[in-house]
Amino acid sequence: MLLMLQESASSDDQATATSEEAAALSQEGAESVAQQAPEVVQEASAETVAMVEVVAPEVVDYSLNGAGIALMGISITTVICLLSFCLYRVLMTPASELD
Amino acid sequence: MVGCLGGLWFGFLARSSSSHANQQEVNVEDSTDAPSSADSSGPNSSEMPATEAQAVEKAPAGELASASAGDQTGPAKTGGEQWGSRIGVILAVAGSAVGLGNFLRFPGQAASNGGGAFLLPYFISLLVLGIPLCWAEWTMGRFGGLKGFNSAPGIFSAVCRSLKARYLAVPALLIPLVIYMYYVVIEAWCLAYAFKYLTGDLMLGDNPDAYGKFFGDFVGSGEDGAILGGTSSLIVFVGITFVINFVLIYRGVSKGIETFCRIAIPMMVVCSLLVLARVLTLPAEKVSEGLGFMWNPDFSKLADAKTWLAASGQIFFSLSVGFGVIINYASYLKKKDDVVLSGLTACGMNEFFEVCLGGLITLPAAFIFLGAAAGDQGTFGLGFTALPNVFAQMPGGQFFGFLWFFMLFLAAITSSLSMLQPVIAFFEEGFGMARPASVSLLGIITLAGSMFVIWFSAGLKALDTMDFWVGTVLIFILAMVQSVIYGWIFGVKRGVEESSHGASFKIPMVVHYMLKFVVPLYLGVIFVLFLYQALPDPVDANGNPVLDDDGVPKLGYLSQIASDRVVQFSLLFIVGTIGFLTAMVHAAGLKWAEQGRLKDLD
Repeated sequence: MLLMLQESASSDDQATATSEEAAALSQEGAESVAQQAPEVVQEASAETVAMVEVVAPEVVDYSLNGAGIALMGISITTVICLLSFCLYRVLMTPASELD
Repeated sequence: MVGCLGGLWFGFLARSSSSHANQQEVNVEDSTDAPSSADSSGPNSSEMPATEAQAVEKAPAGELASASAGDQTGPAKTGGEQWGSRIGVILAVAGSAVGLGNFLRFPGQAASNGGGAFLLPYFISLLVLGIPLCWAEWTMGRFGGLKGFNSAPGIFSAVCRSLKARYLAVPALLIPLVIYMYYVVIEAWCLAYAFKYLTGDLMLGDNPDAYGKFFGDFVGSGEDGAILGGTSSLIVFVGITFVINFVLIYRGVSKGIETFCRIAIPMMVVCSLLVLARVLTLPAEKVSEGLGFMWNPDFSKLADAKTWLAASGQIFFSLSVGFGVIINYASYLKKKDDVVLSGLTACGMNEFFEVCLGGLITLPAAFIFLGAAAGDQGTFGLGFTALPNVFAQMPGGQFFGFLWFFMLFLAAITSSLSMLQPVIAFFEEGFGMARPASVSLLGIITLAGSMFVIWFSAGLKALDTMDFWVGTVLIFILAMVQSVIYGWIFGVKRGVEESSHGASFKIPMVVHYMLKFVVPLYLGVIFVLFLYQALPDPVDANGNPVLDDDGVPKLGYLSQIASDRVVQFSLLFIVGTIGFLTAMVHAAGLKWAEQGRLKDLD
């Protein structure tokens, strides 16, 4: 069913989104920043260096990890087993037992 | 607006019901005798006379849709309808439950609440809240059906043994009725998007703004009345969707809903699997990242109450409990139908679509092409802005885009059909209306409501207001009412006995006690937390107002009531509909009392 289609983003959602957006910068982009940063920093003040450090995001590796695989596998297997069990019982029950 | 409709329609109803009164009374007299004597005998009160039972057992499955009263398992059902087969009712209930929320809401909720870790509270909620509530609705629905009632007011009266209980069922009519009014519009979006993929109109390149603009223009979110101004073809698709829905519902429970679901659900599975295959065969590294974004667990989120609230809410909304739909569908079951296994199977199907398909397709696909920002788009943004952008960049995207939105359209139509049937059952049962009259009346009422939603399209404000107050708040309330009725009025003893008829396995006793003690409390806590979160103006972690895209502070639902004219109109519309339905339920009860249908229940 369709519900809560347009949930207002809560404060936590906002915070999460912001950090995720920052983290979403590609690896290439981050490396580029890292390569350019030293040249810029040469003539920059300590304050600017600090700013560069703040702006350059931590690169997040989103690749599916072991825990993700395990949880995905367990969840999907659980649902498929439940559905298979139920459908087997439904479809294999002789009609005479149904009516 | 609805109040006016009520006045107009009561005259029509009076004429309609009187024209069917003679025919009706024959059924009623047959019906009341059988259960009346048994009612006072306790849990086994729905036993029918042996000759009647034998007649039913000889009746071939699938040919009962228009059976006369004497041919039915229960004593005299007004409409005389029954499901043709067990798998048919399971598919119909699953079709009711499976909708856009499975594919568009669940992934977003999971990703923003701990990814794979979200599945832990999710499955706990399924076991503690979802499946028990489903079983309660299936059991009470069949019980009411065997007493000769298919509408929620009648079923509640039978279960509570009091005609006064029918007023508690007003939300069970209001919820499907009002949700249908805006849901059919969203359904039309899906149909239109599928069509526009066929024609290539939605292959707009990789500029994300193009999709947002297309969606905004198409649904008229810029200003009220934009759709009727002729700038969007949406109204044509709404018309087509309306016709499809009402043709199917006119054909009845077995020939219409069941037949359609038997075709639509397998088609949905095939379409989804094809799209899933396409997503999973994209470059492996990207697929891994997409799946990782959705499934990599953040266990720290489990310590946050918001995660548990989100999981409970997702299960609760996803399974169609508290909609007044399952209780109506279950009333068309026969006494020996297995409500336990059927309910569990329907839940299983819903979970399959949600976890196995929704969890693997939507957000992973969106992440692959759009990055982490895809997780923060909301249901509409993800479904109608982000995904079209994804399909435009995907090899074979036009074909897979069509498959996807056609599948969503099928999912939506199986849900919208389930919203019409409870109200039609009430019109027929409460006022003796024939199918053409009940379908016509409902068509006019829902068309008026849908036009309201279509007209007030700016910011989708009317739709959002109805979805919050009816499609969310009232559902909580109805679910709590149902769990209290099951646990405290229907009773554990009766629940055990009724649910056991024809069951291949029994509901564990602990579930009955959970329904009595835990579920109402659990629902109450979730409800309060939910309101606490949704009603006030949203603020960020520092206590500052959350701003929308235009830099204006977002308002909570309470502030919207005070400041937004469309929200006020929408609430007036809802209140008017409540008044209209309450008056109709009152009138139906007087008619039932006059006919003596519940004389032994008061």
